Amino acid sequence: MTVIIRKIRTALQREYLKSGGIQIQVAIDQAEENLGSLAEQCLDQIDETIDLIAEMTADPRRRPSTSELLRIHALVNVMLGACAATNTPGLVDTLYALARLVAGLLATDTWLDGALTPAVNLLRLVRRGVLGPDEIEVLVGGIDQCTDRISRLDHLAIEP
Amino acid sequence: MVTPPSSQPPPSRINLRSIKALCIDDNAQGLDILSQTLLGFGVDRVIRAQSAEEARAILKKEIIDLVLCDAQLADESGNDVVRWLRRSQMEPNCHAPIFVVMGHALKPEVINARDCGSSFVITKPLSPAVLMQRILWVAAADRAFVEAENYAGPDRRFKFEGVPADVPEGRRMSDKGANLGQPTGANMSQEELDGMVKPQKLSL
Repeated sequence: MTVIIRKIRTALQREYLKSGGIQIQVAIDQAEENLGSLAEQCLDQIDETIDLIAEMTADPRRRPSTSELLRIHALVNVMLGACAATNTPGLVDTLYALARLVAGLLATDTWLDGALTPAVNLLRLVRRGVLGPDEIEVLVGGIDQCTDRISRLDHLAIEP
Repeated sequence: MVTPPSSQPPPSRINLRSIKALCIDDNAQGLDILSQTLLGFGVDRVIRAQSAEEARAILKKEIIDLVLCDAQLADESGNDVVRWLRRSQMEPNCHAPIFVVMGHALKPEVINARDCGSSFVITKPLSPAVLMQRILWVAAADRAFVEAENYAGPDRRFKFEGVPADVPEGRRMSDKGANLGQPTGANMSQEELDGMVKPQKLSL
């Protein structure tokens, strides 16, 4: 097996210290200001996406298909991206908890009725800003417990 | 061994004006977030691609100095685009710094992200401060570029914290102590040493 190790000087390495640049803190502030101008449309997108996921999980007795779960996972990641331009306390933690839950469901065939409903409802409440940080922490912990329970159920199901 | 960039004083200014960047995201708003962040950093030329196919076409045509790519694209994984670029041998694009922006990843995608050859994986939501920190790190780092059968990309072994305690002989060639042989001749004189290191005028 041949391994080639080379030292390469990229354009970024050549250019980034050249004179005429801007203060690093100014660059960060400008980027944050630019992102701030996207906040409203990002919040709209988050609201639309939550509605879409709520529609997909409306029947608590039906396990979403694998392709639906993958779609929900992708939608959660889109919302996480949109969070760069918004500042809704607890939203990122809730989205990651939902993503972990969906990943847990994707790893198993088991289904608990309404497994996704509390997470979707929590997402709505967090987005509206009606919960305090302590309440969000407890409820996100509850979603993670649900994820653990689903993975344990799967473990029990495959034992002889 | 890679020189830790933290050993150098961080610069107070940055000049990204002449850098041409490519942002790849299948979501229009995601693309806005990536490009607006770079525009804020002073990057004047930001090209946007909304699919892996579009990104490939741009990378074949233009010289790109920096790539920001979402890990989850509609048609394929962003990590696969990175792997393709690293293997493409399209210089200088194949060596460009690539930052993959990733939300929650399913297990196979985590391994894919590790092995695709990106310079850094940044978790969502993207924060300008974190992206700037990573850009400065990549720009200052003396990371080698590795091309092997199963991997092409920046050397992943950049967190060099000495020889592992459980492997006293080390894992790398440079971990092993160098054995110096006995001197084979007389020491060089100062004049000879000066002749080696001082610039000499050459007239043709």
